[in-house]
Amino acid sequence: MKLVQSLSAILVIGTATVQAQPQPDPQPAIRVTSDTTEFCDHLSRYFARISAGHHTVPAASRALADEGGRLCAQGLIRAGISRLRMALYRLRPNR
Amino acid sequence: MPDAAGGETAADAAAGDAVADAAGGGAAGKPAGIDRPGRLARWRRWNRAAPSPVAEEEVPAPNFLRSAAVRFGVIYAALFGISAIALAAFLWWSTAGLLERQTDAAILTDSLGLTERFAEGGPKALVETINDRVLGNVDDDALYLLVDSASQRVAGNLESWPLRMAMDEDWDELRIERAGVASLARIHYFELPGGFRLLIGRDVELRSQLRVMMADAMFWAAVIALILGTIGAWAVRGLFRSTIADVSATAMAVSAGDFTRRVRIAGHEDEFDLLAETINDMLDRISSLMDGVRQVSNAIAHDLRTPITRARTRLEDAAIHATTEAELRAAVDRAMLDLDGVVSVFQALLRIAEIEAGARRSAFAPFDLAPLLTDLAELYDAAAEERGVRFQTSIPATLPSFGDRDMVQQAVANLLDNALKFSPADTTVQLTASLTPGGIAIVVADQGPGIPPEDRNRAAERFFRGESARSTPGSGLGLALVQAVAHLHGGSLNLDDGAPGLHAVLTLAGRIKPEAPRSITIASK
Repeated sequence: MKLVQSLSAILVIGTATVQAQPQPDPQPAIRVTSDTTEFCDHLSRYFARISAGHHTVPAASRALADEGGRLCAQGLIRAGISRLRMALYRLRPNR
Repeated sequence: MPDAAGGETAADAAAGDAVADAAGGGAAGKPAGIDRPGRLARWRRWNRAAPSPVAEEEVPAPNFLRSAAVRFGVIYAALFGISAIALAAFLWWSTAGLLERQTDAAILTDSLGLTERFAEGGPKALVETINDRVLGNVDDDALYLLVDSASQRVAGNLESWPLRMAMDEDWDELRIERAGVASLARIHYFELPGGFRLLIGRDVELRSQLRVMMADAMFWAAVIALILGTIGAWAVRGLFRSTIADVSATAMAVSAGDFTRRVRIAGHEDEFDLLAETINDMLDRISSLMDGVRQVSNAIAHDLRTPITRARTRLEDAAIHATTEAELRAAVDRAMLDLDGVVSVFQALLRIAEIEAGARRSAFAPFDLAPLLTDLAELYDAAAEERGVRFQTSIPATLPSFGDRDMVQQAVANLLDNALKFSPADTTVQLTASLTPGGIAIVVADQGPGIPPEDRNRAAERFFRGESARSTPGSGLGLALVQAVAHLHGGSLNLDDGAPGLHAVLTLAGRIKPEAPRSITIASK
């Protein structure tokens, strides 16, 4: 009987340990400013400025930038930002 | 002499029971200090299938962990659990641990580049670099924040400096909000010249989720391992208990007096079968020895009853009918002769017991067997001549040996006594001795009636007398003493058919070297 009780205790403790999530500081979460619509617009403008300095802008890069702008407009901010960053990445000459 | 026809008398049975109690540790002969009823009761608890011949007694419940079977099971489960934990630890180290180490390495690399830029170009260059890295962060996981001495944000993609950080450590975890979704970041904190403070981090939400998933998986794996380990331990315990159950049942039966029980051999030819065979051999040997003891006890009772009864009858007759002192003295003398015979039998028995116990081994010494045999031959040559028997010898000039000279002499004399006693006139008795690979072989051959094949194996037992020997004087202890001497000297006694007669071969082991005295050498300076 003692053995059964011991096993039950181990199971309960183990379950509690696993279910317990990491507890960071109780301070409020800090907002990341690079996941906002403003940053998306900033990226779009930055792409436009950079691409204006290029003689030829790769079609794939422009397509990514356009898609990123559309996604941001649709509220899918992080996906749009990701496309815009990829577009900028493809513009780099030493890529 | 064994009473083969008369069956076991009450006295025999009582003697046998006494022997069984003494040898088997029965109830009457319970050794002090051993809680036998308690032990048997514990066995009965573990092995309820085997009914105990001992009456039920109230004993306290045994401690669960005092069972060897449970201990084996627990050990199995512990080894199983340790293996599972070691495997889980390795998996964690090679997956979640690896990701964590990679994140920290990326942050450190990033920080090196930024501090170099600050050192080269000051705050302005650092701000430009941070902005570039925020713009070009294709993986979308980089976090930066540069604040001045007033904790005002200068650059980066975090809104504000954390209110409370673990300032005693450079590393921390931080809750962040990304596009309205809570997330977790791993951050590293630096202080720069000019009161600037820099925070570099990585979004580790995915890694955190992976860690939780792995922890869940490992927990349930541990639960499964625990269940399997418990089942395995239970199975090991059952296997162990079932394997020794038959051994314990047999031991209990034997301790209760049933010497016919034997341990079952499963036929797997494993260690347990080997143990069972060994135990059965041991029980066979004990049973054989007890039969021998019982038989000797019976023989003593029968063989000594006759001379003692005869002596008593003589004395009684003399007491009633003797009319003169001379007649009384004659009766007493005859009774004394009878009693001397009884004493000589006991002396022979004690001598055999002494030899078998090995007590005479301390008297072992090197000696030459050849002159001993020559002396015996001279002695028995005269006796043979009196009986009209020819006596021939073949003895080497020297036969170096090691043992008890008197015992060997007694053994050879017994063989020669028997040979002459049973040899008809005008036959030959031969005494030969030779060195063989197995030692020294002393052969005494006669042309008498010999021993029937069915009696040869028993001829060296105490008090055994064959049909042809019943009419001749003797106690039936001569060959028993010869065999005891042979065994004492690491040899044997073989009785073969001499066609006609008996061919008795007494073999003594080769020269036994005594232990060399130890020499101690003390180095002188």
